[in-house]
Amino acid sequence: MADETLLIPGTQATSLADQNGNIVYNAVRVSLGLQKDELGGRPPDEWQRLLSIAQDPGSWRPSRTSLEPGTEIVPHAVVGTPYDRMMSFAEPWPYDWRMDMRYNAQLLLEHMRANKPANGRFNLIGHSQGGLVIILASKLTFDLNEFSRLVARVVLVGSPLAGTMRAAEALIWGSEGLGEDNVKAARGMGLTWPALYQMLPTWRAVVRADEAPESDDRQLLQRGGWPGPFGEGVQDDLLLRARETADLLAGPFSRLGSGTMAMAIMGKRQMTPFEVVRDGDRLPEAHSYARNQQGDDLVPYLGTLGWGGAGFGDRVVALTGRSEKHAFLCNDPDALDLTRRFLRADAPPPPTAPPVRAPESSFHGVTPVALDVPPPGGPGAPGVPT
Amino acid sequence: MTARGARRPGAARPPGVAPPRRAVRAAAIVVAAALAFAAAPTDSAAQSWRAHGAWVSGHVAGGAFGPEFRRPLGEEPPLPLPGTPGSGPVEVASRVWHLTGMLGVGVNGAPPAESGRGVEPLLYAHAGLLYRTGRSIPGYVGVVAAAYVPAGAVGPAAYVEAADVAALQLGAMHGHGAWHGHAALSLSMRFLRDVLGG
Repeated sequence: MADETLLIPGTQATSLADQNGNIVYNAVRVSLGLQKDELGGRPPDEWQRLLSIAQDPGSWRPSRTSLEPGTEIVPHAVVGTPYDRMMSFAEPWPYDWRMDMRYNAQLLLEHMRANKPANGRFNLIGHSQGGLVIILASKLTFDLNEFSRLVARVVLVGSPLAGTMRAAEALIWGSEGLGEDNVKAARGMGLTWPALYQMLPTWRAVVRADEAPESDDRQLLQRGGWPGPFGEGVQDDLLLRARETADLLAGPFSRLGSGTMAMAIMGKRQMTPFEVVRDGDRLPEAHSYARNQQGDDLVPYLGTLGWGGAGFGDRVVALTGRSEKHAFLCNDPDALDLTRRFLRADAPPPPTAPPVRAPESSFHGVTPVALDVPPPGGPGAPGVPT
Repeated sequence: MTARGARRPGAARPPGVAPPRRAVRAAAIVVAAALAFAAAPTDSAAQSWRAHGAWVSGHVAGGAFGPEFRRPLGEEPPLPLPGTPGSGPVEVASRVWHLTGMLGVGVNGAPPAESGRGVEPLLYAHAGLLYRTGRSIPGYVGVVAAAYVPAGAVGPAAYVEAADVAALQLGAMHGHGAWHGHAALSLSMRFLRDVLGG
């Protein structure tokens, strides 16, 4: 059978363009400092509005993809630099990495339903946020067997299943990626991105000065975790989305189905931020961590392993030695070797049983939003909610 | 006009000059090694398309592009396949030695004053051994045997690569009876596309 391999890239790896096709964000050019003075040809005072998005509560699809009047932003091409050698055997799937990850998961499902290989299934490689989109896609089918019918193999590379302090960093302090003069604007736009909230740490990452964990209501998924000026601009609706998504990401491989095999590649060499100290109602004014953990410099290894549980741990390959940092983990020769051999291994056959309706509890209180594609089997089919 | 490397009929070979076919034979070996590497069926050979700008004094001032293949040496790490006993995470230590091979086609724009010709086709090949460094910017160092045909230059070069996207080669090339300086810069084509904003 001819399986087709899709690469679901990580945060920032899909370039963004406006409705006229002008690139407004290219992560490689930004990281080299080439786009700092001309983000899509627009002046810096427009950047925050340009890259901010708006969401209506309860809707996964954004109501506006840019707050700049008359501007719509769409995903463009995936940058090749971090996936150079992986792109020789995987087709990149671009998406807007700012949006609610469940919306992108629905888009991925829609893509796979509409383009399923005639005599095969998909292999999915997810890097970083891309891996979360894959896991969410597996959790949002109405039919328990649908994901297995669509997907033969899943490889997660450096996916922050339990979250990452780097997301918190961007929301607490802002990123210097657009230049030191634009940190405030970077934070402002990030505060409108659901995906950043959805990658906040699920563990007790906020600790007191004595290093004891703060209470749950003062952790970063709760409003109480954002004291004083650090709470300005933080959106309650996006925190709610983060909590809903964390519930869906627990037990990451639990809904893949019997016909899909999975592997998670993680880095275990780089020091990775894990905890931040809160002093009364103050978070640190600058990047400062109480404790680090081994990881890939974005995904903490043990924290993620613990979140995934025993069934997940059996599917994990941890890269030690000289493994690459998070952004370039897909170019790591050992990660590439493992991925290619895994994709060539025999996968279990797809299920042949009729659709089986997923229990409502598996959606953790959220209802998958139908896009332009009806649930498998269509309305009225056995086991399909109407 | 006399083709590069060819003697005029009746002209004597200068003393101490090796026959040109020795360089051609060595170049053929390098090309064959690179070809064999590219064609070898392996799951672990990773490919990167590269743009290769080259200079060999008196022979090459041109560029080529083509696939570069790389394969780690050492035991393949185990896969966590279904049915394998659940024993928790598998830890894999990095393999540090890698074979590399590249084949490229392009154009040699060596000026007539140096080469005796104008623009001509250029085939580039290398095969070699790289060592993976553990610096904060990931990279490789190593040695490759490189060859340019039909320019007829072959020789060893030191190879240094940063971030898996940009590689510098410095070495010496033997061609037509003498040694020549050699410098080359290879860039990932996908990196170039990203920088150009594609």
